[in-house]
Amino acid sequence: MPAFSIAPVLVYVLRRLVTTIPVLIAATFFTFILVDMAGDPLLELRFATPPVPDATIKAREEFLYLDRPTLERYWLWLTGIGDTRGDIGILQGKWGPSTQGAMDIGQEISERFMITLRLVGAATVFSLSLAVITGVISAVKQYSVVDNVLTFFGFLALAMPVFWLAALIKEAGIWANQNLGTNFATIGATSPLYYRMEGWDKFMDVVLHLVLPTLTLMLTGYAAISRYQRASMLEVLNSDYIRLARAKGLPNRVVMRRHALRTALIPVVTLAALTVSGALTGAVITETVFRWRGLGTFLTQAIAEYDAFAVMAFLVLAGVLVVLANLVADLLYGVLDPRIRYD
Amino acid sequence: MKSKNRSWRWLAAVVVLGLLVAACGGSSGDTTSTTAGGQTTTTSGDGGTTTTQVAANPGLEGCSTDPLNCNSGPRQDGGDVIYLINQTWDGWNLNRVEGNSVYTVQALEGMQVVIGQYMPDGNWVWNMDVLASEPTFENGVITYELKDGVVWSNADGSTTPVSLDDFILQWKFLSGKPEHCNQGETDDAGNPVEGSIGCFPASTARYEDVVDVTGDGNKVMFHFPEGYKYAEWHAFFGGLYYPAHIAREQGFDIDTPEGVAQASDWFNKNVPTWSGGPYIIENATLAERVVMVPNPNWYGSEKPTLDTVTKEMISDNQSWLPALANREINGGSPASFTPDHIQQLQGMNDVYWGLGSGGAVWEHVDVNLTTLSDPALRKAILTAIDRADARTRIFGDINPQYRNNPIFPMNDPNFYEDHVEKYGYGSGDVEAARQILADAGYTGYDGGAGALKAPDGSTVPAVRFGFLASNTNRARFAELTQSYLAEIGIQVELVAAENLGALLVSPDWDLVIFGWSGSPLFTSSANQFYNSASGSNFGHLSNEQVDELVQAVLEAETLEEAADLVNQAMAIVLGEEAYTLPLWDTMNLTFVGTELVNIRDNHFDSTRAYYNLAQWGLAAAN
Repeated sequence: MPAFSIAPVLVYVLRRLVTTIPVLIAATFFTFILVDMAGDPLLELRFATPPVPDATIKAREEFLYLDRPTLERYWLWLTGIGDTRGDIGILQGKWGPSTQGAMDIGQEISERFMITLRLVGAATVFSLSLAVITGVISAVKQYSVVDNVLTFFGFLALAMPVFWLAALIKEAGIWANQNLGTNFATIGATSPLYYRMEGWDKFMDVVLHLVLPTLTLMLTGYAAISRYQRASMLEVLNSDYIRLARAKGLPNRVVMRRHALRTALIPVVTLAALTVSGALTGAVITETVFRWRGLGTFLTQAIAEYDAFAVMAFLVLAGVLVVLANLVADLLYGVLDPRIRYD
Repeated sequence: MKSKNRSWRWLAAVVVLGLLVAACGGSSGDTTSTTAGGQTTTTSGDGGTTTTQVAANPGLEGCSTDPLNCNSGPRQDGGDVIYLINQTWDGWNLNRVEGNSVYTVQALEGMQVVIGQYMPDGNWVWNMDVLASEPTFENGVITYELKDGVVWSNADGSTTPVSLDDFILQWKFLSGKPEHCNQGETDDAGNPVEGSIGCFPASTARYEDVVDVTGDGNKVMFHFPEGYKYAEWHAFFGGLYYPAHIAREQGFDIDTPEGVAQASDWFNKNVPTWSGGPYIIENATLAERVVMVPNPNWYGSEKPTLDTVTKEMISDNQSWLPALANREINGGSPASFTPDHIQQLQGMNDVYWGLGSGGAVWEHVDVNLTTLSDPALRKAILTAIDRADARTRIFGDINPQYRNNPIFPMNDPNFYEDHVEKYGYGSGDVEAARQILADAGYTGYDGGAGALKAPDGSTVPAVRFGFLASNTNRARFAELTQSYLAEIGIQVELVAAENLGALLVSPDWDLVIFGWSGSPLFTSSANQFYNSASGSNFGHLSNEQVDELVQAVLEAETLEEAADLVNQAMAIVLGEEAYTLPLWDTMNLTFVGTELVNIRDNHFDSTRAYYNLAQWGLAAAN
């Protein structure tokens, strides 16, 4: 077995990160153009009753840099170089002014990120675990009753629209509260008086708010991965080296865990990494239905308010997350498959 | 209006709680007083808790006939209430354009010093907890006389008297004058001035006309120019939210324009930790939630009984009623609703709900006079449109109140006059519409869509009907109009716009349906909608008489005079010009758990049900 060296891995990581920079810049540019074309963030003010003074509208235009051409606005957002109030320039760590009044984009998106992370973290752990287990069982018991049942539920979860599934789960939670004495929450990440709670009460409040949205995300997330896991496992189980392992007399447990599952996890790892990054930025519907003020609702609100700099902040975060997730997936390839090298 | 009986379990709980409260009660030396709403209150001898002693009038069914007392009843001490706010708010300073929304108003309601407000019956009432006497407007001076003991409660529990400085700061926030507050200034080269953050007033109306604010003892006087006329002076100053002493404590020199701008910005970005009202904010997150507790230094006669009031923002309308069923909220007065909500409410127990309207938001069809220049054609169109049929087809059983006057809704207690039905507009009377066309020389009106010929023999081109594509009710109305106008030979082309504002300022429509929002304050509305110089006169009405009348409204001395001028203008706008067809008011929905009393909608105030927060409470056992 060749000695493991960290240098090629670091070079690989660096190379990958450098190549993503032009991609991110291109993505931000095109998104900025699209958001800028979408509408006038001050339109509501222009038609307000009673009328908003022209001076106020002009001042708002200056405050939001709307008095500059689109390309200049993009340049200012990217670099902060030019006539600014020192509140803009992503390369300087400044996110720009928001059309949403007192909102500080940087502070808001970091708070929202942590909220979404809590929701998605739990859901991802559960959905991945469930997907791997059910996928493997389905593959091992191919065409059995168990396989058929798991396949049925997998497709059911896959086919149900998220907003509908979320509404059903919410109704089920309310029914349970009213009839079984449970205390599941259907809105928010915490109770209004959470800040007054301590210790166990605080923990339970968080848990009770997590249950229903986590279940929604878990079910919607697990179904696709379990199908991948099943297909991948079946392919591996039918390969020659598994037959050889069995022919050598290795115990079935060892064949399954050490030889089959490890190889079968490779495509799922890619999917899982992308699922995590996607879920972090894309749990919009679940967050909306359960009124979690996470990244998803941050984006929808920003779009609704024509808040170009907030949309851009989301895009940068989402882009970085996707890049990192892909990188982690690629690195895990090497861990799971010794044939892969980063030379 | 509908209501459902509370379950026996809830009754049992209330009875038990009531017995417990009764067992703990029995104090002597109580005093009574009467509030503006006509409710009798009893105050314990030690000046502590006040409980409302009113005959129980549960439910929202009676709100249309008894808007001040419906769903009233005696309260018990304690309890936590969570009430809906259905949209986010972008700041904490109502004076700034970012923070100026009804949702900020609702979020802050309960912490401000209220001078006066519109009540659910549409009448203005002064707050005599704050005022020593009713304000006056004489010789261009509005005078407010404050009671002794009207104080701000600070975060550390201390108090600071409400003072002249607070009023002056408010004036500076809203005057729009650079000598009072920076207005986001730029230098000679057009670059933003460093540190110039600006006051960004949402409206400078009337405040820009104030020449000085002075004090004399407990009196505060706003001085307007000599001979200044102001019919709606009563609503000039609704309340105080932002104390001058807090601005100074934060280090802002509010005697300079820079300091005022910084204070304005600071008030917008920071949660108010002070209060001049019955409740004080204990915890809040912008655009998400406000938790209030009783203000320990509240000086008013109506003492809060609830332990906490939480205002919870839920913008997803599908979540409101599940949250209500789960008692994660106890009620709400959202800005809009769907027939699904009504259907769900009809199936819910332990909930009172009701529909009503104060005419604050209303729908109408406007005509583009640059393309439909013949008044006879316009009158025929407005006559052929069938409001009753459209209302039934769009709203089913909800039946929103018709709008027969662009400025005054039908339930306006003082100034409503019909300017729609008396001209036959919206009647769907095809024969009358055809007769109008025939009298004007048109032909082909009975030949189906597209057959109408102008007096010169040319075919009348298709009428373009604009609407906001995402508004299904308006889209439905536009489709229905196709069939109504086909009856008089007019073809209608639908123009579905993604952006209403862009459509309105474009020349791409002949008829358009959209909504206006207003308030009981009417003097500026007519000028904004119908003055030929107004940017909001989208259909380009240009009538010298109307211009003179709506301008005169702004300078009227009394409400009666202003209303008379408005109604004269409306007679021309509708009767002569056939410029607009008011359709109906947008209905308001309120739903509230039966465990609560004294929660009812106020259609005439943007605070909606929050207007009497101090009176809210858990229902006491009878």
